[in-house]
Amino acid sequence: MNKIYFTFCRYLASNRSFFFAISILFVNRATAQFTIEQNNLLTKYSIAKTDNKENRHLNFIVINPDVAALNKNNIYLLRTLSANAGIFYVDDSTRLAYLETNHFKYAVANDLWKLSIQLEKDSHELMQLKSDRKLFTLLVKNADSFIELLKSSQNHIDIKQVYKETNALVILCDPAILFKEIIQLNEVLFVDTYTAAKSDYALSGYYKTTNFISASDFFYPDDNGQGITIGIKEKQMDEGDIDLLKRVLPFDNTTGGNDLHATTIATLAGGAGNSFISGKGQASRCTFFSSSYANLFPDSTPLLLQNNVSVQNHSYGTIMQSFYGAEAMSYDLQTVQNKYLMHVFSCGNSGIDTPSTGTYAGLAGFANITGNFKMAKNVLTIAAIDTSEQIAPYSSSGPLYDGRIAPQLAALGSNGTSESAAIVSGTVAKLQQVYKDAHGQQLPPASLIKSVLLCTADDIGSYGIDYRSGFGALNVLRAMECLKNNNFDSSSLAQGDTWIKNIVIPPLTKHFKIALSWTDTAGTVNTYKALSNDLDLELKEIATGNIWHPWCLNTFPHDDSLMLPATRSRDSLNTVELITLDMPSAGAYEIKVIASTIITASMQDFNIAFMSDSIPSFRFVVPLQQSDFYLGNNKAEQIKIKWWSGSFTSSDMGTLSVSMDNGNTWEVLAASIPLSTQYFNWTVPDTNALIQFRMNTINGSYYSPQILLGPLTNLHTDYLCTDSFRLSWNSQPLAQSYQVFALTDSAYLKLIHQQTDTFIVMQRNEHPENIYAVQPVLNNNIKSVRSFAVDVNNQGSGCMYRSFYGIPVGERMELTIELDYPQGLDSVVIEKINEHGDGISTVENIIPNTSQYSYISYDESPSAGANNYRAKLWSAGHFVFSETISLLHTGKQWLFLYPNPTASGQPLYYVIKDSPSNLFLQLYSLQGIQIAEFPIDLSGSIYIPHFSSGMYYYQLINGDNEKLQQGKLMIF
Amino acid sequence: MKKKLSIVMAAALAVLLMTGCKKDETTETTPTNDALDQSEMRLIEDAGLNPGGAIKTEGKYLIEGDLLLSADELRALVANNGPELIVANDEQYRTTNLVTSLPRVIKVRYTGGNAAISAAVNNAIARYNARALRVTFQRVTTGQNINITHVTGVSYIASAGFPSSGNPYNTIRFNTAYAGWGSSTLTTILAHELGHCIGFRHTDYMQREYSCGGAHYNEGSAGIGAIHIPGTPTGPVANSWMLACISNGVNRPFNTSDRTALAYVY
Repeated sequence: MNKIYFTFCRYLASNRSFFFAISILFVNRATAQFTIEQNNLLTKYSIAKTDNKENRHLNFIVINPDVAALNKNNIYLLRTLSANAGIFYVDDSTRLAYLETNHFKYAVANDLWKLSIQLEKDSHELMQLKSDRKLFTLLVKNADSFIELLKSSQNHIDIKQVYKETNALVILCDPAILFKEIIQLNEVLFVDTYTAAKSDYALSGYYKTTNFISASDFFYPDDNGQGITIGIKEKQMDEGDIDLLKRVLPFDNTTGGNDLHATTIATLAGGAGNSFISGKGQASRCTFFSSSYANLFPDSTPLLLQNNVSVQNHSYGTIMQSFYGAEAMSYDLQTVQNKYLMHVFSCGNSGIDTPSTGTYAGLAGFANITGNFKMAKNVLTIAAIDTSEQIAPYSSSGPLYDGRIAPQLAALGSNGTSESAAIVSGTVAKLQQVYKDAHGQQLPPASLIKSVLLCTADDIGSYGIDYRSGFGALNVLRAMECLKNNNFDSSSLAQGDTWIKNIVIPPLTKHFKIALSWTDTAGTVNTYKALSNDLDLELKEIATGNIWHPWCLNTFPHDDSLMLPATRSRDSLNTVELITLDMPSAGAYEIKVIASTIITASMQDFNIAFMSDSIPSFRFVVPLQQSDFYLGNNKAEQIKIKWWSGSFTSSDMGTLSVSMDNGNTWEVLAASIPLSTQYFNWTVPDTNALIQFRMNTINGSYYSPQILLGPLTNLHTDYLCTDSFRLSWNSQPLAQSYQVFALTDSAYLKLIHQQTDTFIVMQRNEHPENIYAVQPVLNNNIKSVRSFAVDVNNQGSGCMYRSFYGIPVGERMELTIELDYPQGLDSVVIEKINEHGDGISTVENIIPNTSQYSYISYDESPSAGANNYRAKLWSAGHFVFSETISLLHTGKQWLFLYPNPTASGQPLYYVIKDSPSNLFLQLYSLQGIQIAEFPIDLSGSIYIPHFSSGMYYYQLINGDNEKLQQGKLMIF
Repeated sequence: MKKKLSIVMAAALAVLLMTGCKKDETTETTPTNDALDQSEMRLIEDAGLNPGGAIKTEGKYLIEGDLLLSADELRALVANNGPELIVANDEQYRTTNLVTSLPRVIKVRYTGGNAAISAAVNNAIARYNARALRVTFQRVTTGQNINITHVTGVSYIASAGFPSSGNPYNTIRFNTAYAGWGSSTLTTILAHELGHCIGFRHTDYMQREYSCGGAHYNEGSAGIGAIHIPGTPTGPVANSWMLACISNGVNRPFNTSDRTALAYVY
């Protein structure tokens, strides 16, 4: 097979042995009225020429098929090409009679229908690779029999992965063999280029006031993911990270190593918060299951069940793949098999890129979601917003290949959509815990969580739903409360049935939102439209009879169309539907769910969730605690004070004030601010005080909790000796006491001491632990931020000193000792030890003063060669020695050579005074003959060639040939 | 004398480089057998670095003038190619792996015996420690995390690499030919290399002619995965300590954007 054809189509057409063709059969050709689209499909997918060989090829393209009727007659759908064309399989050619007698238009199909559009695009390039084996993703009828079939192949085909649930495989083979052999197998239904996963970046910087993360933590601190296992599918996270410690289930991720991205993602989703507030994730008490993304298919359903994984995070992507591929289909199948399992995907960081394939090819900034698994129907894809709550430009955009809305939700991801997905995954874990605890430990269906998240999201970007932010920005607090208030329902419907729920919208509601979500049956691979079962949501006002339909976006492939605002109409693409009402009239309404198309045999389950923002009437939501002033690790210079104005109208005004003296005096921050603004930018004063915010309104005054505003507590290691160590920290004037924490045998820091002093001396035999933190305790349960957890071994501290080093300066030796805890020292004696350790002289006796941490001494007459120094540190009548440091000096000479005697063929080292320039070392034999010359610079070594053993003279000269120094060198 | 002459010539060449174009930290070209093939160039590019002017030396690749990385280190970078932190139009702080287990003290040893370089090491450390970051540096004699050593006969001023496994890169090589440069320039060079050791790349890796002069190399990364740090200026800010090239007399203490980037990451 050395022939290389220019295009794959030509390749197919000209390779006769490829087909088991019979004549193309067009029934009722005379009356055939094909649309242009159908004509194009027929041209593309049917065999171009007749060839009367034995017919074993039983795949047909059928125009205007009646899928159900064909199915009854044993003609099975393999792939839908469009609304009125499909590829069908006939197991016996006698069945063709049915097609004939019923006047279906059909033709024998070639094998192009098996290709993903990505592979179709790549095929030209692939055919030019002569022997470069490539990875391909296949979907076959039965994986076992396909593998059996491959065994008889003459060609070299390796099976790299098998996902039996959907009969999907990844194989490694020569592209020519793929096209010549694999693709023609009747077993094969779908072939795609395999693209490896790549993480969407992550880094530090975690602004918890975004998405109401911190508010949720403040109001519901016990909803922390306890009892929920979050799957993190990517590389191996660092199980030793102090925010993940002891919470990662044992499982071989296979990628090895400790990946920073995986560690960051796990931390954002469920970090323990041991390291600092920034290390506390959404679900800080969850358990982790780490599996590898080397396998792009879902992890096996039983494996995830065994490990109790109810939410799995996918912060990775491949390339833009606008089709319903084997992975997408597999994820949908898995969510049908386990309807409690939620998959959360980052939408990708390709927001400004242009897709090159699919319906939306060429449209810059649209349909650039990365990876065909993100085309699945029953998953969540997450966009990134920055700290100003705007969609990040890099965040990938919808629509999906068939016009569906994605990403569906946006969350904080200042460093990429990876983080956004992690935050949503952690939130899902919290919601699952809340539901479980209220429902006898039964997990909620994923579609319930989806409807809760989408109906409580805050609209961002253009009004209503859009292709960049989906249904809006995650609102953790509202989602939690939606679930806690039981603002959801569920049922199940058969074809044509309608479900009705009566609700009352309270007065002064600004927004009423209702979301419908269902777990749809998996579509056929490579289908033109993913949706199988179609439900429709309607909202009816009883009093007026007005009916509202869900928001829909224009799907026409043009920038202008895709940017059009959403309109209300029936949705027949998505598995989520949202109806919102602004300023609805109070009163009785009817929620209606209609089962428009149910193609599966069983009933279709669905969930709805709804939200009305009239309750509570007013509430401060940011800031609520000291940590809200720390955006990441640094104190904010400005903060958005946020509140929810509940039942207030858009014209109601309020007066926002702050008190820093327990409510005695109030400073007005904004005298007349519309309550509907819901935020005020406040320049944070540099102070240490308990503060409180107040909003005066026509309905009375509302107060924030008391919040500590002040500097962080920093833990310092004063000394670290083998038997004891001392920790100290800055005083917090408002603290009643301090709690000292240690990382002991638990996954979380444990309280080990409570005291009023700002230091602690610990004995090593009682406290072998290395990681400590301290937290000031205030009155009234007011939360202060716990210090960074400090590993005492990593703080550079020694026993009573920090470090000791020196450097020759001119004819002196400059010695520096740095102290951590000068207050604890009576004196520091810098000593010089002679070569044999028996003679000791004092260089300087330093009496430290309490605020000076670094002291410099000089040895005025260091000898040529090694000089050894140590410090004797006196404290309360006892002393310890520092390390002994050995420093080279030239003494009073220019140069000091060592070792002397030296070996030939070895480097000879030297120290040279100051910064040498234009100096040379000449070697002479005892007879006075110059045998070598070396430039002398700061490099500190020269290489002695193989001279004969014996005594030599050396001399150091400068550029003017002046002799600076001479001596003897012994070479052996 | 021949050797003396060669020394004088080398000095003259250095002067020429300093004054002719501000390209001292980049390479003076080396023999053709150091030329990189396409796959090597691609590897460097995939690692998010600028392959322009890269050479093979000491069994590694010298990239962007002062990054001395082995093929394995480059491959690790490809896997962990980090985002850019953008604090202003021309200040892109691309990060790679970072130092973890914070707060943490990184111990730095200087093995040479030169007082001027020693002072510059202390000054560079002091520049970082003044920022009150969660990474601080400390000069030591033993137990170091980063060793600053002398090197001669190489084409760069100084070299370093990036962190791995949460630890800083462990070696900075300083070319002794430049020991005579001004103290603030030496301090800037060492602070720059320490910056690499804790994960910062060149701020002008997108357009290295900004500090190096000469041809315009652009990776064409278009800022994908870039992090625009909130609250920082949008106009260009000159003189980042992580600019790729420097000449004698230039001092680049941390500017506002540098401080922002440092505080953001550490």
